[in-house]
Amino acid sequence: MMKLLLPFSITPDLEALSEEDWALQPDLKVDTSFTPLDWNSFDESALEMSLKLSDNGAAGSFCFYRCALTVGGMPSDRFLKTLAALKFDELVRVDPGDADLRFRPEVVARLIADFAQTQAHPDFILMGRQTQVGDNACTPLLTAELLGWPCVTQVTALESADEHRLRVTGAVDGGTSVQTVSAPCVLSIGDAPCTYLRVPTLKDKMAYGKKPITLLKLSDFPGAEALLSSPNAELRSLAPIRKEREGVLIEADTPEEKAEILYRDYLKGRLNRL
Amino acid sequence: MLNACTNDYPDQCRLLAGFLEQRTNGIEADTAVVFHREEADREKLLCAVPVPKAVLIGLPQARTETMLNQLAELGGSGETAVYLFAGNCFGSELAVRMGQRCGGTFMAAVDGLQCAGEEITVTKSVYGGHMEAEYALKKAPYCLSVSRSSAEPAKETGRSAVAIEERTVREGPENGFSEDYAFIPGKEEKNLETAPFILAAGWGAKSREGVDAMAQAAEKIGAEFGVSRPVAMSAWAPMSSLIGVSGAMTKPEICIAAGVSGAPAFYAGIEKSGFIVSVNSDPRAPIHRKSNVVIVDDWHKVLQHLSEISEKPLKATRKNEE
Repeated sequence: MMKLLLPFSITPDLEALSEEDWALQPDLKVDTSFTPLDWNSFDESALEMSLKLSDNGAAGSFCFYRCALTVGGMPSDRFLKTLAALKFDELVRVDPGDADLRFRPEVVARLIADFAQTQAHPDFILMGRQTQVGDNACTPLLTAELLGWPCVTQVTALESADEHRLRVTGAVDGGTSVQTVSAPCVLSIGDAPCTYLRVPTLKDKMAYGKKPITLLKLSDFPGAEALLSSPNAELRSLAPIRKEREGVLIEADTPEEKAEILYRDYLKGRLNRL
Repeated sequence: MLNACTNDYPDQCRLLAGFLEQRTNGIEADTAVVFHREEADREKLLCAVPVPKAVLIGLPQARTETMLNQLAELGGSGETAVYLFAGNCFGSELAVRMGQRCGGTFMAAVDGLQCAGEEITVTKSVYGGHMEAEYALKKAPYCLSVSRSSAEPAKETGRSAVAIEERTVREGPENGFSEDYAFIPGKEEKNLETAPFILAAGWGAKSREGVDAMAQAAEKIGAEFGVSRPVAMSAWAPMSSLIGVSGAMTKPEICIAAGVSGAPAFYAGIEKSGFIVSVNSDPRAPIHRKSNVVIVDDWHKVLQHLSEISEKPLKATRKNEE
């Protein structure tokens, strides 16, 4: 059986915030508590790709043990229950308490590495390449370094090679790499098309959705907690980025008239100068 | 830190030259480390390097685990240095891993770098491109990858470097986890990054058919066609059409953004456009505030009529001239 550890994060829908919502609080935080939550898109791809490993023909007969791990508050439980309904074998949430981990990928990576070494013992760790809030793009890379494992980045497709190895496709500069990878290895998932997480059936929700969630605290990971007080990169300030242009509205009764105004007044001259 | 094993080597040199010139303060760049294939032409490599000196490291294959071992040796010298990488796949990975392996500070997709006395600070975008963060870096070596949208790439890198060291590295056991490694060169990329006129489709296209209709409209009006990440992720268009931080960073004279919401990760890919037109039926779509001209209406009808009334498409005109 191949053991997969899938660390994932839940993110607020930042596009739902209006301009005035980007006001900073004194502790350099933005209040996103009222926005809908969603899967971090790269982690969502990782979760779906782990499920697809069981879908692929003869290779689908290989056995996988999937452990999903997230660091977050109670709202994350809803997402863990979805994974339970999708037949993930183990569901773990680490409550960070008051710790601000937005820009601390080294803390999250240490936590994941310690969990992998002491509890999950996975063959492969699959996780998204970056999260939206911190935009750190570091966590899978740091996890690999902390574990002393290799890392394949920008992964776009996965298949089972045999019971112990994966066939991994990834984006590299100037093209694509394809390789058969042995455990242990961290796979950092990039822009993988058609990897929106599937929806569990009602029957599976009823049958599997109530699987218990293991709840841990940041203090259960003293190595990670110890890093909190001494960041190598200390956040000094945050400021909204404004990139506005004139936004001249073309007004007319029909879309055809608007297209004509656009072409006549704004495009024709510019196109002629190209 | 440059990777000449890939064909974007000149772009890496130009980006880092532009970054050093436009986005740093108090930094003097001294030496480049250039990974290259053993058979590479040394003179050509040195011509593109944007700093006076270069260390050349020859490799049988462009494997990051092998490069990383070399970088760890360099960063472990104890010298207080800043190591800058271009923000491509190579640089984004190795800056972070080198920083961690050497016990220093790492940061990906940096937009600016300041050095004042003993203090080094960097800026980078966070919150999906909605906010800019400033960080003080505490511990050398400082390993940073540069955001692809941070600076205008230099037209010329301006000098030819002197090779102060050359070495050849044999592949060791570090790649033992991987078998049958194969590099498949990308198909010829569309010319999005050099196109003067682009039509970009967003999630508002709603379906593969909608995206196809937009692509046809682009063809008729003579524009290159690109898409936002949700469209590419749904496989409604190939990944080579992707515009934004994960894809092409364009700078056309004219960009029509149709059915696009205007998320910063996409906008970063068109923000250097000379003139932006947004077409979206949602009057509250953020793209409207970031555009020069706004049409709030059904993109399908607008583009269909636009393609009917446009005179000879630009691409057709150019082909005839050629």
